[in-house]
Amino acid sequence: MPGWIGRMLNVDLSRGRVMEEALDTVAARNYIGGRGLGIYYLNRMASPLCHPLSEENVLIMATGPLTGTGAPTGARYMVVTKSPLSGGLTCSNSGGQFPAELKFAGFDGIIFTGKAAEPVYLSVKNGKAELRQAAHLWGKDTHESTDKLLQETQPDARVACIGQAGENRVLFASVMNDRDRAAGRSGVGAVMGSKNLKAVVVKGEGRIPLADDAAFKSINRETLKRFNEASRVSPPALRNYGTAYGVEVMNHFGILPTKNFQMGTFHYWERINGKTLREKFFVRNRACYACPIGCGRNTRVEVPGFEGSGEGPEYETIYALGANCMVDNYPAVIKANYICNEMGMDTITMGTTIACAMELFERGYLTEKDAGRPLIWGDGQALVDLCRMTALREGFGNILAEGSFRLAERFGHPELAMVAKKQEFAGYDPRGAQGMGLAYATSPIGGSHMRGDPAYSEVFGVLQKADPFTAKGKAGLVKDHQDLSCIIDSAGLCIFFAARFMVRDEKNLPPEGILKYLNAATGANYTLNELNTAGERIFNAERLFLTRAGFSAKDDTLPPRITFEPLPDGPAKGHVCHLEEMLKDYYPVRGWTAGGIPTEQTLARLGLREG
Amino acid sequence: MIIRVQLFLHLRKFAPGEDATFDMAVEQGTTVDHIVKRLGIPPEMELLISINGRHADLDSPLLEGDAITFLVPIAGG
Repeated sequence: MPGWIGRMLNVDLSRGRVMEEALDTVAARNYIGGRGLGIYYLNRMASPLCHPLSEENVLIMATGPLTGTGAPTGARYMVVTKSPLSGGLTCSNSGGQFPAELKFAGFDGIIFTGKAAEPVYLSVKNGKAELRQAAHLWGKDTHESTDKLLQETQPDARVACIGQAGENRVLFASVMNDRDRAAGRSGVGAVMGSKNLKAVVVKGEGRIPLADDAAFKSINRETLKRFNEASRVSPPALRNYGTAYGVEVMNHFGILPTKNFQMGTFHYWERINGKTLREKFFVRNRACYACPIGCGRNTRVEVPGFEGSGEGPEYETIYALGANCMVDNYPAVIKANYICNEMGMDTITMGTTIACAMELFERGYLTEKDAGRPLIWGDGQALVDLCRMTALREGFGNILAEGSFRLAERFGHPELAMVAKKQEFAGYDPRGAQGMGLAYATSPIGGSHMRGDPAYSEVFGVLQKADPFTAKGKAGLVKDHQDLSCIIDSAGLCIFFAARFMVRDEKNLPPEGILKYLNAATGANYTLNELNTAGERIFNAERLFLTRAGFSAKDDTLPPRITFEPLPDGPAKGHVCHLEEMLKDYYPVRGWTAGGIPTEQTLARLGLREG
Repeated sequence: MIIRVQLFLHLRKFAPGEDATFDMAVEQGTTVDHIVKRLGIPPEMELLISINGRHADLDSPLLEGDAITFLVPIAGG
């Protein structure tokens, strides 16, 4: 079974048993891998009604058929489970070296069920896996845990683990791999913590068999040639500035969320942009496995009080912890980022929850007594302190640990939480990028830019340029981006490369490059139509999980700030997000009822009917 | 007429002075490609152009007071 390894690990934490099982080959073809296989197994094994932090929940780590093959950016895996933040689904994505190593160690993915009686970690080495006790690691941060595990196993192994936030069930705790790479969103780390699972360590020397080695190499040569030519004329901004370049771009388009989405531009954006990061804090680039871009960056801060070193910050982190909290103190933003990485928390939800708290405080809904301190816009020290307190659930941090929706609801103003399905938005204000509003509202995981990213069309103009201010035609565009994200996330690729060099800039965004790679790697002989249908199948399988968990059109919403309050500043001034208008088009385009449920015909067409 | 030009990222090097945002005096009816030539941006360079926050092309016409920006197509995240 080339491309795929053909083996899954099934880890029953309650019984302490580790079993190997054959990968379901029909499922592998129909769901590709990664995100697709994750939802396939979750739908089969977990009750959508289970409590996300109970032993009934199932946690799946899954790679794609291109992960570890040497296809450019084929470095990624997905963590799929029921989310404690949204109460729905999550599928959180990460790169680095760990995912490829999992395949070299002999497995396409790992399915964790039950709950260990005591803290444990899973060791996987060359096809053999065992659970080991991890009491000595409990309470340690992700860097300490990684270092200790590498000492205990072997120094060139790869580690995915949780920090204190995951142990403390912070609802947006992340799973960190290779120290600073994050499957960040929706609380996947809290689920790991609830299972008493501290870490997974993988090491392998296996090779990934390819169906047609020669064809694969030839496609690789041609694709990398195109990349290198494009880079020669125009050096990749991602390599030079990291994703932090986005500060400049989003501020220019007036969609850099500022002051808890009360504004779309940040006066001091130049203090926290990619150029400043490069000039003042940059140490070196970091690339994930087989990545020719290298957008990650090691940084160091030597400013007293904020000293540290690590990876980041990414654009999303800078928006959330920086502009959205009006913090222009870059060392404070970077330090807060380091703390989130080390203690294992999602920077987007962390920053936007603090921003929400600052607004509640400013409006007098939350007092100094409630918070234990004043919460003033732009207070970098507060940012740093609150991140640490949240991970440990200390004082007011215990309330922040529940995310902005529960925070705002507790203080009587849920409308001030900038969320979809209780998950915080990414760094694009939907009033100046209409399609992004529809993507947030209908994303299977709630506010996210990565499970369908129309900003590529509306902002970056990379795939099918679209006017950011118009709602017309966005339903089809968002569906295309969502289905494409399913294919990219399931193949094991990174959108940064795939969207530019493996997808044709034509109507419906044909993923022809991905098709070629998949067929050379797996021999599955997908047609373009089959691959597109697989993307649609995955998105609908995710929607089915949500439907069974009680979600419907009533949950495809955005806060009134986004749909009723015009942006007061910048190029998007005067605009609101026309969500209702877009949803009216979107459900029929999806083949869903007006209530947001996939119709029987849609399920039948995609092979998702039960029975 | 006067238009405002803004250059992003590594396109900054094509700015006539220190500042990546600057005003330019151009003739009525000027199109974007004329600006590209005047700035010395190589024709083979793939550009993402917007006028007043909306996507535009090389043959898009410019009007008095327009703000034109040049970016390179990149990915987000």
